[in-house]
Amino acid sequence: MAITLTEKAAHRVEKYLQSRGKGVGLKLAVKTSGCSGMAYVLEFADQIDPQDEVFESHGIKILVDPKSLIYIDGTELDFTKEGINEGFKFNNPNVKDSCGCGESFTV
Amino acid sequence: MALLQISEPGKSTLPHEHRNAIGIDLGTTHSLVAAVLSGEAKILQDEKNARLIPSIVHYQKEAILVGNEAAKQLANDPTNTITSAKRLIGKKLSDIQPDTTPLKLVNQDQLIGIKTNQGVKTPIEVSSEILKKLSAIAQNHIQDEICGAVISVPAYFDDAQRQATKDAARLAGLHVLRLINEPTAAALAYGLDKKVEGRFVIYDLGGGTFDISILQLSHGLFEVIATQGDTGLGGDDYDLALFNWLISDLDIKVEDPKIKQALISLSKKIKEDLSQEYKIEINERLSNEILIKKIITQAEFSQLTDNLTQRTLKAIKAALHDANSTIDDIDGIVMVGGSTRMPVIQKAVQDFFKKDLLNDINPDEVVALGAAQQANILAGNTNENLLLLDVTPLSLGIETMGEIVEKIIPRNSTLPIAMAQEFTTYKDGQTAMMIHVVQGEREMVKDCRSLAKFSLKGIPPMVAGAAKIRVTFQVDTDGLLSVTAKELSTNTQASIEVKPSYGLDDEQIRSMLEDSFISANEDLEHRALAEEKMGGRQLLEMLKNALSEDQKLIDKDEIKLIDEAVKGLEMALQGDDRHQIHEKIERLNDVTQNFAQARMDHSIQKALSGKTLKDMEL
Amino acid sequence: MRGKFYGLTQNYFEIFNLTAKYNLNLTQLEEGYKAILKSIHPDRFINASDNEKNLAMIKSTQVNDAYQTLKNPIKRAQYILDLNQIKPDQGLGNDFLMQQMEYEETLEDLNDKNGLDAFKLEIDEKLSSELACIENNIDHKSDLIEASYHLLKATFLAKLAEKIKLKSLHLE
Repeated sequence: MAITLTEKAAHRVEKYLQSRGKGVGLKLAVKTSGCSGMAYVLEFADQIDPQDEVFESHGIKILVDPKSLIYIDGTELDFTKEGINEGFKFNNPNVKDSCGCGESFTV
Repeated sequence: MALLQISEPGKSTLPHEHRNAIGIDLGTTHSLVAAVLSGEAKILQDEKNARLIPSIVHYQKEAILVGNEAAKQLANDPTNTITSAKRLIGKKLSDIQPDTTPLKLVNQDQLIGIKTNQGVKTPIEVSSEILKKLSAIAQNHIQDEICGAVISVPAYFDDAQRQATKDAARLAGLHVLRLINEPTAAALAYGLDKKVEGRFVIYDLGGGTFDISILQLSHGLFEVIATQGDTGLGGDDYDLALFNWLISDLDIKVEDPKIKQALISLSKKIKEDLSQEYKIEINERLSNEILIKKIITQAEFSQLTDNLTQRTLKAIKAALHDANSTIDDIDGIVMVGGSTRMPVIQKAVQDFFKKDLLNDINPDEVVALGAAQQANILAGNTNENLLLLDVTPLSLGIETMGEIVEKIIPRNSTLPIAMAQEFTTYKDGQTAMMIHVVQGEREMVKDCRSLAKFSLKGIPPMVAGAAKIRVTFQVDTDGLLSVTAKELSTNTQASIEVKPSYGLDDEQIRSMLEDSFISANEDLEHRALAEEKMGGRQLLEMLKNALSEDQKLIDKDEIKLIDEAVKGLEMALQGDDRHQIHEKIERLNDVTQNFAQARMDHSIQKALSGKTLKDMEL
Repeated sequence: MRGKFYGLTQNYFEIFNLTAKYNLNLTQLEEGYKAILKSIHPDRFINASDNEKNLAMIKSTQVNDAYQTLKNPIKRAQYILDLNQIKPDQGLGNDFLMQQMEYEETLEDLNDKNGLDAFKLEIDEKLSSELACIENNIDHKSDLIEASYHLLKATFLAKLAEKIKLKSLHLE
């Protein structure tokens, strides 16, 4: 399996990285805690750590540490608009249940 | 479901604990709100995609309209439609020329009150309505708790105006992380903080105000080294010059307010058109008698308004003097405010400095964008090591014999700053005295702004001249004053009764807040509990981090005490007793005081350690 | 003493790990100031406890005051004298008083930019020579009393220089 970006998401990330002026790609991870057990981490990455798994999707490098990968493998990251609000959304096949906030989940 | 934004490396937060912070430009004519989302500062639009929200509030009997909705009421109900509240905020009735506004102004406990359909409103309340609207817009975008806001204020705003702006934010339920000077915000938006070193001029010509600031940047430290301003100069004066030119060869007086309004609108339009075209032909019939047929060029407009432009250049010279600089020391000039779109201005400033201008960010949006960046930094969402240092915009002094001002804290002092002054009694057995604090550069009390009157009480009775009372004036990073006093020979703390000459005291704010909560049907107690719990959890989190870093700085006994207090607070947080939580927070604060001190000293030593060796070589 | 708040235990030189003398390495002072402020400015404690916020405010205030004092040669000299509890025990005498009045009159009479600039140059030179005397007396001869007289003169000259500058600015 792998981690992928939708074209829209990739386009956005590219734009953000450009205006930020530095960074090698995107870092995806999970943290414990949050309202339903696990929470997503979405950060800019300035370097690739040796243990990171590196995926590439639409030209964007996605870095994931192996521990997190178990919980998010197969995830597609999308960029959407809801009303006037816009941002990224995890489409994660491993999720059994998630909190209404969209940022934490159980597997 | 909330959508995620990308954080800086290592700056991710847990769900529901995001440090969402916004930047607000609370302007005289319009206001904006912005936030950094996925590393990029953006203006947040309202539901109709408007970016600029008119700073206008309309009071109906049952409802309050803000922004464009309020602007529509301006023509048919001007007395209940409040514009330019920023010009009134933190001022007294005597500061204002009443005939310049259609509003019904009254004196309200030292403050200006405005009579409306909903009773008397202060400019603070009016501003808070605008802030509420901006906060709601931000809420719509962020859909999560907003931890705080950075609000921009003109650099020349005095203590009263800054305090009033903060009060307005409190009334709107916003936590103010920091007030930022508008020019500083503009410099941030241009990313000048990313440069290694440089000295920059910020030229800010708004609708009704002019502001010049000189900023010095060196290695991540941003310092406002001088500010000058003219609160009575702005784009409106350029309109007025055109207005006078339009009517100069009409032989009738313009008295009809409708025609007057039409002429003002026409003047504005000519000004804006002259930003695009060199020559404008005017052919307008305003009434049966009045036909205006004229031609104007940019050069003529420039001549017509030269005295105004010269006034701005004079302020630049004064600011350069304050900063001990010449034009050769200036590395860049940032243009802010809609009025800087005028080619007249661009040219004059360019000619003065003999340099290209920084003007490619929308001059109406640049301040809000910079405020958002500062909010993001303060909230701890970046790894940037930038620090903004501000200075006092005006000197702070006290009244002495003969109503002469003695300056205590000079203008352009770096904040925070404190100064102590010793006073003595002039009568035997005197137990109280009055201190009058003023702000301004002039020598006489009547020419300065009265900030506050303090009465010092509880001075131990002694013979005249024996008491030594040290009064310490502290100005914090937002430019706000606080005062403490102590009698030195007996070491007694004199109590201070503050009578602010302006602004709201805590009691007033509380009662206004309660009013607004009752009308908004919100449960005050519930909110207070939630806030207390949030505060408690944050304290625990911070302490956990502090202990993991610096536990070595304190001994076992102290750690044990802290651990006990932590457990106490954790227990209290399980329950819903607000007072108990409060008490445990206080307790934890008490037992960590020494630890906090040790950490602070340690970080100073750490900061200096790179320098110690060099010192020894000296 | 002026500027001592909240029971400050270090003197201003100690804050920056500097030796208490007149001739300071100003670059080093500035670097130390900035390094310290970056670690303790209240803006770094927005998310901190009330204790830490309060401390950050107090410390930053002290550091600001110390820096402003040491940065300025006249304030620095005054501070060193204050630390040693030295005060001049008599005035400067009639000669300097006459001289002061003369200077003030000259300033009053000058109404052209060139004249003012030339006058400023003259005063600046006198000021630097007074400052050199202060340095010599404090750092080398340890004659603080003598230094205090030169400081009185320097203080006057510095104020005068500022007045000349302001007048010249207003002429423009």
